[in-house]
Amino acid sequence: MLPMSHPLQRIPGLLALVVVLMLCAVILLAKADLDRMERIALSRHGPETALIVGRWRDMLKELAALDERQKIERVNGYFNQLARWRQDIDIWQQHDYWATPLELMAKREGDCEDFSIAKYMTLLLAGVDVHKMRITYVKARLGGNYGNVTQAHMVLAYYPTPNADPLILDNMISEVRPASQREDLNPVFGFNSEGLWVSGGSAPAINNPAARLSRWRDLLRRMTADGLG
Amino acid sequence: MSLFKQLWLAIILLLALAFGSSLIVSSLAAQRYLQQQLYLKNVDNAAALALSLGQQGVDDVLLELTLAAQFDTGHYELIELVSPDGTVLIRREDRQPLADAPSWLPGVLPLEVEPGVAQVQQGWQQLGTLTVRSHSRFAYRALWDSTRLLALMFLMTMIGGGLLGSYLLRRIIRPLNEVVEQAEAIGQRRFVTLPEPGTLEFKRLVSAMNALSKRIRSALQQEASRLNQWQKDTHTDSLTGLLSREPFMRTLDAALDSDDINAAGSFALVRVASLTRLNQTYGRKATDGVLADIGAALNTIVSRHSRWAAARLNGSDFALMAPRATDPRELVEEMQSLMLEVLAAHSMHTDTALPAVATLFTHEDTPSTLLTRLDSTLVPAAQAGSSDINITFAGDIQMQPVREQMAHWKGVLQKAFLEDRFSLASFPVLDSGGQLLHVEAPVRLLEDNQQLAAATFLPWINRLEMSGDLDQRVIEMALTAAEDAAAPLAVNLSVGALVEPAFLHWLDQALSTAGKAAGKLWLEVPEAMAFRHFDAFKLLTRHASRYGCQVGIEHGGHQLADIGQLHEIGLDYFKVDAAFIRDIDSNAGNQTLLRTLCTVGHSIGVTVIAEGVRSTAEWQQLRELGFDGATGPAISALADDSSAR
Repeated sequence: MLPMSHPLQRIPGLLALVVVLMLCAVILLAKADLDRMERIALSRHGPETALIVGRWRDMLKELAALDERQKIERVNGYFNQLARWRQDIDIWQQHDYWATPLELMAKREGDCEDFSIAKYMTLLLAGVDVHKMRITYVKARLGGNYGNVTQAHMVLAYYPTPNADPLILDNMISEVRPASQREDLNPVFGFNSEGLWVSGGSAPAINNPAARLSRWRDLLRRMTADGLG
Repeated sequence: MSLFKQLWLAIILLLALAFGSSLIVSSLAAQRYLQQQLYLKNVDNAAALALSLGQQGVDDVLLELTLAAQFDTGHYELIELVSPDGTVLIRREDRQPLADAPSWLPGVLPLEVEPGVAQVQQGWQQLGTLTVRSHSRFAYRALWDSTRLLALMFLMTMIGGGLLGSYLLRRIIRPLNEVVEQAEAIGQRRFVTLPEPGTLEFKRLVSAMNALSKRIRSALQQEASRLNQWQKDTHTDSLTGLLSREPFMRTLDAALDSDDINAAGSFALVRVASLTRLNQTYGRKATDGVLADIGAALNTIVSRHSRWAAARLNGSDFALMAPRATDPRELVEEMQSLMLEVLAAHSMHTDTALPAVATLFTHEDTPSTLLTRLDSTLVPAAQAGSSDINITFAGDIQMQPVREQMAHWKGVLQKAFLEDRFSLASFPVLDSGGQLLHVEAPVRLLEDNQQLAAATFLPWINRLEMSGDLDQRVIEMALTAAEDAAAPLAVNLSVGALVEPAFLHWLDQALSTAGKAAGKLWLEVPEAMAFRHFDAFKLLTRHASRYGCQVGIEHGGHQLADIGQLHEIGLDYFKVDAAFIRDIDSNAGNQTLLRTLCTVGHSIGVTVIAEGVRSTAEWQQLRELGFDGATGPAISALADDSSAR
């Protein structure tokens, strides 16, 4: 052991400490930071939105005590009540804008995918396994089972088990029904954030610039920026 | 280390640094870019494949076929479908080794690409999770190719940069080489000037050194002209501009005593018979005018030949000493007719006779025997009052026709060259401390069992144009002798050494093969010859000094005005002619002259040596004047004494 350590000899140690601290900071920031989300809501959208986010957080706390089926009912109902359906072009003055949950809460109106995403993220935060959820593109027949007008639509599907009949969370109808009872919906493609997320982590594995080219990944990135990791 | 090596090292180092950093940057950039692109491809392909699988209503066989087709036709490393319960349904994997890039590359620059993952579902039913990973072989090849290209560029840039740098450096330091040469020249007391180079730093250096050289040169030229004026004042008759009796007699004595071609020649004496009557008839002023014109006329003859001298011996006797002239009659006729012309120009040619006499002199004569011989012939003629010309000879020597003599000497000399009959004599030259400075080695010829002095046969060597051959023979002999001689050996070179173009080339060869002996060879050239062929002499000096050979001037002091040119040739030593040394202990005028000469010589690094020292009194005086060395009979005696002791 050295009797005295020269200031210069301490530099590597200091550097190591700084690196460790920075890594910790990065990891903490990458975690869902709902306090930050609330702060952003306040500063960006005003006290009303902050209030909504606060309520939404209260609901998240309450969800912890519920089983998954109840969680799904609750989240579906919450967002269906909170926001009104409106087309992207009217809300955002652009086609097919994918809003983050915070933006949905701020505007209190959103397109079908905005509802699906908000529900998906909320359930994910409430502890529902990512494998059990699919955000699904569906071809929807309007006017009930026998209508002839079809429309591109998006819903969230919940699979209690991999081979089960999924439950559908739809903003068009208030109640959650199994897929077998939704003959008006014809699924096309389902996805979730599996594979994008490093196992166990909650940040996108690839934070590369090219990710913005994908609407889904761009949304994930924006959600992370909002504090919703 | 030379500048060129340092430049190359610097270029290699700089480029290696630049190359290394650009390689790292480009490799990392390429690695990142390739990783991104591969990842995007993985993700997109996974999504597209999953989407297409979901649309087909597939059974297991169709599923496997679709994935196999995709795998076999695409560039994939892995395609895997895992069912929701975790069992692997289909797995296709390429395990080919990396063939397009060295196997160490993945270790150095790993491409870590996340696979693309997508969910496959049919209707609301989950089929499984699809994992797609593209092959990175091509990426590695691209990475390897770009690295190699960069390395090639680096190599070419390095070579190109090095060559360009060398060329530029050579251009830049060309003036430096010249500056170094100038500095070396000044170090050797050759005060040369250079045209100023364009480079600012060198320009200042060169102009500073040029200023030094110019200052030395002008100081030297001033001294030289001062010396020249001094010599004129003390040695010449103020009326005629000819040498006074005393200096003339010393010059004659030195010539007779010398061991070279100047020890033999013709001597003419012409008397203005009735000078007293002319004085009475025309007045002193008019007569003085005639005498001055005669002096000027005789000086024009003298100035055309080196070492010739003319004097007014007493009131009416005019003497002309012409070393190397073999026909006394021709000489005296020219002299007499010149004087007659002057008289005619003053319309006095009818009032006086010009009795004339001439003789041949050799180095066996002394001034007094010579003058006695002439006087005894002139007196009767003068008394007769005629302008006759008499030729007199010492003893029974009769003048042979030149052509016969030429033929005789040609035979003798050719035989001498063939039979190697030349040898070198040896006379010591001591420095002021009495140590042996070098040995003078004049050439001798063995003929009829007799050693002939150089003075006897050298005129014929020159006439027969064999001087270059003799010089070569002498240098060869001297180099052989110098090999085991304790002191350096000084040999006399003739005009051939200066004017024959092939001689320098021969000298280079002889000296370069002589090794150490070259450093013990001193070459000396007569003053008159050195200044007449000054550029050739300069060249000889430069060539000889390369081999450590010293070059000097002998029989110097007659052309003091030319000494000003010596500043840039790097002369090693200067031997002062015996004419100035004679009776130096009692000649105050010459003492001042020689003291100044020594000072001037020392200022340009020249060793000053006295020739023909005859007495220890002379030697004592010379040392006080600042001479560095001396030779002559008294010196030889001293050396014998000290070696006997």
